[in-house]
Amino acid sequence: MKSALDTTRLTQNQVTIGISLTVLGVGMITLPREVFTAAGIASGWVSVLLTGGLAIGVMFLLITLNNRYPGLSYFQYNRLIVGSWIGGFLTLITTAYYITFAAFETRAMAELIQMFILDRTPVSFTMLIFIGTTVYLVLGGYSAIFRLFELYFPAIITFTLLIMILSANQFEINHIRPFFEGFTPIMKGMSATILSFVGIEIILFIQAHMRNPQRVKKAAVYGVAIPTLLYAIIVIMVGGIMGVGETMTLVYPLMELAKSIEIRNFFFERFETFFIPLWILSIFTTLAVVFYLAALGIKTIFKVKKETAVFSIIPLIYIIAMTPKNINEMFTMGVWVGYSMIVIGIAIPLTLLLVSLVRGQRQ
Amino acid sequence: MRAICILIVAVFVLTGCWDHREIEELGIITGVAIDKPEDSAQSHMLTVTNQYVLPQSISSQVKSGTSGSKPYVNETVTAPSILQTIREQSKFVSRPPYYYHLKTVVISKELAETTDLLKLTYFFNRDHEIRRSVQVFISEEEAETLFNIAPEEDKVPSIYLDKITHNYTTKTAEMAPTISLGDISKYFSHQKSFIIPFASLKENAIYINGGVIVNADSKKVVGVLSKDETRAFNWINERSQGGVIEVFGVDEGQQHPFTFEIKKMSSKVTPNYQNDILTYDIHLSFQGKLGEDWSYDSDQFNQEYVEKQEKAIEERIQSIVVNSIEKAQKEHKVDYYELMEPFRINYTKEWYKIKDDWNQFFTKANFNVDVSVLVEHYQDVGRKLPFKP
Repeated sequence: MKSALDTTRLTQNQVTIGISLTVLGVGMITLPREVFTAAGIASGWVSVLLTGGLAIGVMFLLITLNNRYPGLSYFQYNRLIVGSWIGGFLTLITTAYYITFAAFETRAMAELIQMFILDRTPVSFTMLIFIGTTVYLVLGGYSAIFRLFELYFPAIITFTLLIMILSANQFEINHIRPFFEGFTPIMKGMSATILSFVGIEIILFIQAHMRNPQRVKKAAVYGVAIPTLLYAIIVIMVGGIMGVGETMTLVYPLMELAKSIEIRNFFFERFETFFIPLWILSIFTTLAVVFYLAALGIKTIFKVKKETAVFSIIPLIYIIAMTPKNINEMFTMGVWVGYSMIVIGIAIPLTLLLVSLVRGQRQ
Repeated sequence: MRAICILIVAVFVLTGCWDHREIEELGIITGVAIDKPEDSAQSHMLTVTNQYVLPQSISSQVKSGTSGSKPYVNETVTAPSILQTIREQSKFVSRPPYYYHLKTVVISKELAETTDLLKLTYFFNRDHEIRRSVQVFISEEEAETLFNIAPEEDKVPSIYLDKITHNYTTKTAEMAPTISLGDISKYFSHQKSFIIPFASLKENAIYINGGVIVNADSKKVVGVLSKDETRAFNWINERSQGGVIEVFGVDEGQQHPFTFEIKKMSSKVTPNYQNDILTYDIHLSFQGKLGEDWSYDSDQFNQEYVEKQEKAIEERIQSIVVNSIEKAQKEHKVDYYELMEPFRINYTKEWYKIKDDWNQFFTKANFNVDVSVLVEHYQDVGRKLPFKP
């Protein structure tokens, strides 16, 4: 009966939810602007679906790599493939990437809170509280993180869909017509959506902890499909309500959508207030995962205790988060995190897969 | 040691609200009126009036039932930019301005005719306190005068103005559709001309009569719509499901007016673009009831008579719509009907070529207007007896 009560291993649902909530982060709120700016026309929402399909393909390749080394996570098996020196170096840059990623999420959250709720509270203070909460969660290990996610997941999905339903009366189909104007704009739109799928590479680390690793493909497909559909709905709704041109001018399009919901003469007159905690939650989930992975990287490289690893990256995250001077630098940072993910999270593991295939390794 | 640590952390985490604001101490602003300064030396500036509501005053009136002092205060400031007028107020208003409950923005016609409206409303769209759903009006008089009346039903003029607009969809088609700050920004982003409700003052009440046209190219108010033009706009765009049509009789002399009340209407606009000639087929269909009839000859139990009346209504609507479109093409030279939308969707390639001078293109378009009216019933009484006086 031990396996049934085994609470430290991840179930299929936990992996699905874990991937979904890691992918859903800052991108959710800025995606419509990025897609429409890149595509220029309304059919940009197709790009989201196509990129989602691409992401599932990438997931399968990463899983193929994982399956060659069952029970081991990326940090453990990369040195088996390319030796401990290069492997150690790969672990180091991956850790650096996750620290930067965590810093970006922290900063984005702090900017949002300052802009919409607490405009006189110093950013540094909100960030410290936020990091503190994350540290507490990360010290509980991956099983605690993913179990908490199970609790958050319904709330995040329901609230996002609720915003869509409440604003549906403003939807104008003409805004997103004509539906098809050739493939070029859709391809252009895809380049912008790739950055919103940052986080899919966590499968490299969590598959090793699954209770039933043979179900990983199903979990991964659902894990990517849920954010893809949610993104597509968000882009279609924002496009249909704001129009393509207007969306390009908005900093946080989804936030503006929530602000345009009008329930007259009622307590809900300021409905967006309910939406901000939702977004904070979805950023928090992303932060928790990347914080955990950054700590894991430190622990692997320097062979230190869990607590030492977690506490040692707090100042790093804080300093990097404070580096962007203004909101544009913060967005640039987000773009660079996205590009690094393509190299560190996809290109390097796929190269490792090739090396592993050529060397005919198998554990 | 551990307890001390926890205490120190608790002191930081659990205390204080950096951003607390007492609700009684806030200056809740429900309306903003923007005018041109009277002093011509300040012509590059704006005169902004903020309407602060006084919650205590409203609640005391509800309790005692007496109408004492006005439940609002207007503060007028002149400065070069809107944000500056708000900061300027801090010098003499004791409460910090709070814009979360802003309901209406009124701009005087004089200002709107000379100032770029995108620039003027840009601040409101940027500020995160102000919602996109704030209603916008253009006033015939100085905008400030609209905020100085004492309406009977709703004590605060800016809230009263917001509530009148709720009537428009079902009760009358002669009001321009409501438009919010977000809508205005949307129209400008998509290079579409549009109309804003036109408010004017009559004694102690604000009337919303028709609308004013904003040209997407100049971004200024370029004309005022008459009652009929507003109706034609509402019909073509399916923006109103109500209102009445007065017809002056079925016979040649047209002496016996009757009134048709619209219950439901729908519109279908189809563009046709061939050999560089753009033709729109506009089909409007109405369903409703005969509400009033002055003729002694009328006999709605007779289907033939009802069909005659339907025909008269069709002719009346057609003439309203055709005249309005002609006026838009010849006089205003602006496509405020958003007729570019069906064209853009159906002829996307052609649209990209001409989109920058769409208004010019619109003035050359042809229109086929086709109206069908269905009288569903005629209320409780169908004819008058005796037939002849």
